[in-house]
Amino acid sequence: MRTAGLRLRPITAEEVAFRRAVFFGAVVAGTGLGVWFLARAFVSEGFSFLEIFQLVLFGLLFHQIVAGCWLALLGAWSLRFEKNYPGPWTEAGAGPAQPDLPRTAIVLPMYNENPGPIFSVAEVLWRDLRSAPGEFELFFLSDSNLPEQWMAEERGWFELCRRTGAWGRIHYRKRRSPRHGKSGNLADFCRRWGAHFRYMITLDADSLMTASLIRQLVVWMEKSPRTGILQTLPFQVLGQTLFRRMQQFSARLYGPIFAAGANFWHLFAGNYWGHNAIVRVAPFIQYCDLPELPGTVPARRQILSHDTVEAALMRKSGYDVWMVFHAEGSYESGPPNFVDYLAREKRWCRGNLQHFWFLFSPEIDFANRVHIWMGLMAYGAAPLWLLFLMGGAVDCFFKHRFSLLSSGTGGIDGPLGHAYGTLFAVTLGLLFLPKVVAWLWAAPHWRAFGGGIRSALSVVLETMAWAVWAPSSMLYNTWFILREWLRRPLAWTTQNRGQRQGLTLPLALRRLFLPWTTALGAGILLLAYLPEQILTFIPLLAAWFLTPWLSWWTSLPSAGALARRWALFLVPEETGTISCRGVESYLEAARKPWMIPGDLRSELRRFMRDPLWNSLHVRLLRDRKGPAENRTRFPIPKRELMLDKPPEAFPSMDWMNLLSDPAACLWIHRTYWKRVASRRGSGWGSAEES
Amino acid sequence: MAAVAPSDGWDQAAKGVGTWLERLGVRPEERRLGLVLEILQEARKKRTKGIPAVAAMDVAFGRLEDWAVSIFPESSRERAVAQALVAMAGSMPADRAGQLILCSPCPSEDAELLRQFSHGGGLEIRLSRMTARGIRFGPIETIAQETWHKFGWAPIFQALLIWTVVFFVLLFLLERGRIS
Repeated sequence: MRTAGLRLRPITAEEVAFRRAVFFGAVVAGTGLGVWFLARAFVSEGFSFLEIFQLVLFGLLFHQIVAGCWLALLGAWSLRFEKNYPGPWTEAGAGPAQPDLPRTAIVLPMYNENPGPIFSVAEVLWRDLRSAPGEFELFFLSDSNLPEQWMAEERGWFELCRRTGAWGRIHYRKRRSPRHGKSGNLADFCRRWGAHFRYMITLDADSLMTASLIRQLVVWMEKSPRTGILQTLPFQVLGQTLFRRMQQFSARLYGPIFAAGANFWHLFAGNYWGHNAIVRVAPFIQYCDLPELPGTVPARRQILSHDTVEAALMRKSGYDVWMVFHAEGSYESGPPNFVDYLAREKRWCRGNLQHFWFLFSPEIDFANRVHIWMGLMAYGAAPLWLLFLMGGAVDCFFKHRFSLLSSGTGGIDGPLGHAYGTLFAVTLGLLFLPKVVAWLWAAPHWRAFGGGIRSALSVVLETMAWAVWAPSSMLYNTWFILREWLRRPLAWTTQNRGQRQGLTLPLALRRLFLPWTTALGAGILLLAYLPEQILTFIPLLAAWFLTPWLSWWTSLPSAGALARRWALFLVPEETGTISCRGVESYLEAARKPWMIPGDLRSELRRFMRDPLWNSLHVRLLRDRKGPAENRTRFPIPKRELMLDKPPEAFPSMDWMNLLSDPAACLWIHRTYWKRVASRRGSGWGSAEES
Repeated sequence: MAAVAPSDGWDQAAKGVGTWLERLGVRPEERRLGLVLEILQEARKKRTKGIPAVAAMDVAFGRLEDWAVSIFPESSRERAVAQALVAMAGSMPADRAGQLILCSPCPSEDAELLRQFSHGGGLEIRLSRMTARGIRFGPIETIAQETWHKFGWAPIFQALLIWTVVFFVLLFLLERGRIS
């Protein structure tokens, strides 16, 4: 799978045009064929308004399926037959790292993430980076708004520096006001320290990139001064729940051919995913600060999903954005269950819908428009599918009534029924073909996926599971879009990555009430009005109904362990058979972190009681500038109250305000010790308690 | 060094100061005990009223500040304490740090080592100007802007309301047979 000794070659304008013509031509032709086929069936019985509506919807939806299939086919072709991939540099890969690599920042934005694995993995990465040339600095950029999180992060940073001796090379910065989320966090870094660095490697809290890949990315950037961003293809790892194991298996097996297929046409105009990438800092600072969206409500003018827009802005400024799909050593984690998967979908849906504004901007590159369109359709397709299904049901209802009244030649048993059947079969073929192609492409490495039969079985099981989830995902995405249109957007929450505990069945039923209640409602309606067609809709209704049960079961780590025991959903990182050597220590560090953060009480107690941790916190806070009256001091009566009562009695915001005031931090530490010494009570227990 | 009589809450003060010094990492134990006695003696001399333990802790914190300022004379007293403790924990092993803390005068080579350790959370700031450039969103923005800023929705709703009322009135009259 890894293309050792990889050689890349420059690309000509003619080749770009040819590749794009091949891809878009194939998509247009495939979509056109499908639409023509359905239209011909409609014409045989005369067009109705509903049918025109269905035809338009079908065209919109079918092009997505055709595009997906062609991406996989062209990707498989590219991986199999292209000896030298097109790239911005003439050669790269196995060559030695340059001894004088420029200063590069590795930036890791954090937002209420478990700091244990982050710092443990960072330690392995740092030690790895130090063992070879290159001037790297690591920045933890925190926007966390929970006091215990803040305290644990500071402690983790300090311990990491102490363990590695990398004082002054590993940095921690906590923003007082997390303005504009992650993009604001990175922009803040760029404004303060961007001028020190030529490149920055952007990571997510769950990202994992090996030192050799990071160094290789810097070498590649040095060889291609026109490149603004190099995006790697991160694979998912460390899956314990069955859901995550399925996700990591499918991403590992299908991901490369889809990425190679995307690269086939977009080439230098690739997309950026916001993490596991290297960015040229100077043009990023100069051109990629996010503009405000049009609108009358200030809160809705902020771009939430920044990466696609940043890629577009980078392209607009004349720099290239490449995807290095062939590079190994880039990893991430994913949601542990279907409920958390939907929470992520909710965030991405909101972000992608905002990109609509850029779709018609005259300043955006064609390829970026296509990325934006694909991102929009990833969620916009959901309500369209729902409308298409409802339109089909209504159409079916009328046709059926008509066929009963007339001689019975029309309706679903006529040519239209056959057309529907054929199109359904073709659609299924287009959906499953990429999976088959990916499985066949991986044939030389089947052992890495658990063997030929087991990997095939994994593909089948994963496909069956998604046949259940996909209709529910469609329902929820429709719901998210509806909420957005009604100006009642859902909250932008942190990704849950915990896998220790699965969902309980009551919780799954409660959180996934929409699919199973829809199944019951739609089933009753169908029985009442279209009982003859109930069998046609049974798969859909069953999928909706089964969603909570399947989601519950696949959220269990025990189910994941069972699958692993049966050698199902295995990935090369687990079997250790190909190209993953060197990554074990990283995975081990993520699995068994040296730092276990405490809860609110224990973290705050540590801060209050231990002179070192209190001093560290005060040391990391900036002194407030300006006249004393303008500096918001945390009021002393409130400080007293917070010492009297247990920490849980106050909202996080109070603690965050106190922790932001150096004088109050010092005061509370000293007053705590005075109370301990004089045995005056406090809500914090005795100093001896650990 | 005179022993301190365990009276008037001084025993509690001794225990409190001892625990704090332990948390501070003062080593070895004999040195810690000696410091407790020194602090309590000083507190007894200074104290006029109030709780002994509080007075003792005030003296202890004052000593810590004096010690830190002797190493970081350019910083404020509070900042100096934070700087010194962090520098010590970051630059020397716990045993050595435990012997050095509150040691007056601090050996010059150790003080120099601590002064060299000036790592805060971040790097020296070099500001860059990163501001968003305006972007034209094209015809969709034009339509939206016109809708938001130029298009008056009130007359539309008024007209809609009037015609809805007219429609229902006519419907009502039609039902009653007033209009044929």
